Amino acid sequence: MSTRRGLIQAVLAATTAPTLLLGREARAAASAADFAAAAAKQPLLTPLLGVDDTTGDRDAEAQLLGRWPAALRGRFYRNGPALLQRGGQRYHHWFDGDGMVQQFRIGDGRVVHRGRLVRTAKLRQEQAAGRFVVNALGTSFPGQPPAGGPDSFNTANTSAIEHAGRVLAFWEGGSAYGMNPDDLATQGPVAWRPDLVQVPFSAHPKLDAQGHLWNIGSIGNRIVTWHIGPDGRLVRVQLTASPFPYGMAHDMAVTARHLVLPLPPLKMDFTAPTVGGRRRFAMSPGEPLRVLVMQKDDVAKQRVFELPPQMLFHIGNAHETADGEIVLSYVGAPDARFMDEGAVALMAGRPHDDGPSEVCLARLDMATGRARVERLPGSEGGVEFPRIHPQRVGEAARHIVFGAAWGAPRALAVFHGVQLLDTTTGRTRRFDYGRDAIAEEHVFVPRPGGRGELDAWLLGTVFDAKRQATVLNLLDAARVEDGPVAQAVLPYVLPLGFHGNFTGA
Amino acid sequence: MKPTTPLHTVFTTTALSLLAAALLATAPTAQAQEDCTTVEVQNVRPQQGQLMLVAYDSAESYRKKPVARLRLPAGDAATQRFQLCGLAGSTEVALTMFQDLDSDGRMGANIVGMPTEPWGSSGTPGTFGPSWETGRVKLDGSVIVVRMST
Repeated sequence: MSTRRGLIQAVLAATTAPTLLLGREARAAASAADFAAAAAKQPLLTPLLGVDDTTGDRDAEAQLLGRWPAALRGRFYRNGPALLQRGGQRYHHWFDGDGMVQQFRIGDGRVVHRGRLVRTAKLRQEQAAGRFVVNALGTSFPGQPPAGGPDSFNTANTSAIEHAGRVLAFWEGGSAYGMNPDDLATQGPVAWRPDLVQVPFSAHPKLDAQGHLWNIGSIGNRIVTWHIGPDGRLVRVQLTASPFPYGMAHDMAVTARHLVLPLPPLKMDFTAPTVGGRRRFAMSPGEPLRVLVMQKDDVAKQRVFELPPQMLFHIGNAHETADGEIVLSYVGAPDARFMDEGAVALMAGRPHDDGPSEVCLARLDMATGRARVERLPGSEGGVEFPRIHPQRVGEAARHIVFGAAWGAPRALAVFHGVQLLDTTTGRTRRFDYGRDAIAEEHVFVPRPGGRGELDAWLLGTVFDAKRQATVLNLLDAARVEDGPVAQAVLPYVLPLGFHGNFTGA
Repeated sequence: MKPTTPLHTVFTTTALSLLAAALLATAPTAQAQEDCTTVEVQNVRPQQGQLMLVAYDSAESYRKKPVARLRLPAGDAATQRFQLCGLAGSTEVALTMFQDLDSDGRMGANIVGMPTEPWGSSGTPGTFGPSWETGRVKLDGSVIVVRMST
């Protein structure tokens, strides 16, 4: 592993770096001009140019390749930071950009794409100013008026789902933004109740097989839990104290009776100014990876498990066993270097070693409070964006799909393939989109009437640098290694995104 | 790779709640001109409710014992100036304000205590709420500027 990383660094230093940021401090953020020069020489960087808010809308019918099944009908949504530059300014950190929701309408022999920036209050304020003025995770703008609350910073840039007739665009620290599924017009922040205005509704809610949407929000020393019914109405909101106040709380899982919230030992201190895109996020020495398990119907009934220290962004799933354990799958990392450095390097178009990641399975004994962590194979080159079959959310799920990197070094620290892990056997199966591709999150789409987790498709986007186009790919989940059975090629490049979800027609 | 942007904001909700409580009692009075100073408020939402202001003149009294209070209609302009009086004997002050959009006499807050109505402070309050140190300004005849939150 370390040899491979050393080789990557050596190759990148010899091939890529000279085209990027010559003469600059190794960790410096990029200016818009620097990045434009880099992108002109490195075709993989095009998606990180982003869009602007006069030309940001995208509408096209995709060119279809292969065989799109007639049974596949619905809308696939993705979200990610898309407006990355304004008036010569360039954000320093990938997470800073304004969100853009991509919608792919699939059916009737067509794939029609529509992309719209989420018209947040923050975006409208900066449109009026003609420049960035609102502090972001990795870019500071001193001297601004005080913020009215979390939604002053809300970029709605992390994920999207269609639920109860509206699209919800998510960010981690503030309200979900509602959008109209027909035209992706922004409807505004969703509060569900007047006293819930600006209460964080995080970016990784879990939709169970019955249509209930479960979520958390983290605010200072408190955790908020949300239960939204299948009709889109608020069922219940609860508050509890955080066992790791002011810490990062990014993803959560749901089981039949519990909400499961991993809390990596990373404090989120936004009071210090950024330096070159970095806030010096680092794991707190000696602190464990905590997992807060709360009873759905009364979050005061809870247990906190302490696991070996790990950074954690994303979970695969959780479920309860007959003998009283909760089994939680997640992607762990030994440090927070992607958060603090990798996402800055990406915005600068600079090679970066994001370090190892590993797929873990934690067994949480609800009776004793003890936890065991098992490392699963298949993550030696780096994996992220774990997803499972949507009808297995909260139940035992055998298979997890990831974006992945492996093998020979590539020109940027990005994923180039999709990988399916059988958590029972440890077997992995992969498809490599090639060295000119950036593979993004792939999601399971159940076949209508299908039985079993692999009686499904995998749907995900890839940036094809040769075509200079974003391509939507459809794979047979049972035959991942065969690659796409169908593709929809857009006549343009979409900004790289984070997460998304499919809604059947 | 990604994950997200956890910019979960850490508002000093207790501080803002105390600010709201202090503003509940209002007693603007005409005073001698030498007891007064000019305040300029920016980012006002025109024609929406009322502006509530309170002034403290020491770290010890901050959020506990105001030296002056004022309640004004929100008015027509985003930037407004008015006189704040009753400051005789004070050498510096920290002003805290909120715009009572619904004119119910209290600062709206959500279930975790974060303000749901615009707030502001003299000085450089920063992102996460005012304090005596960030809000204090000298009473030297200069106009005191308060920027309401975005």
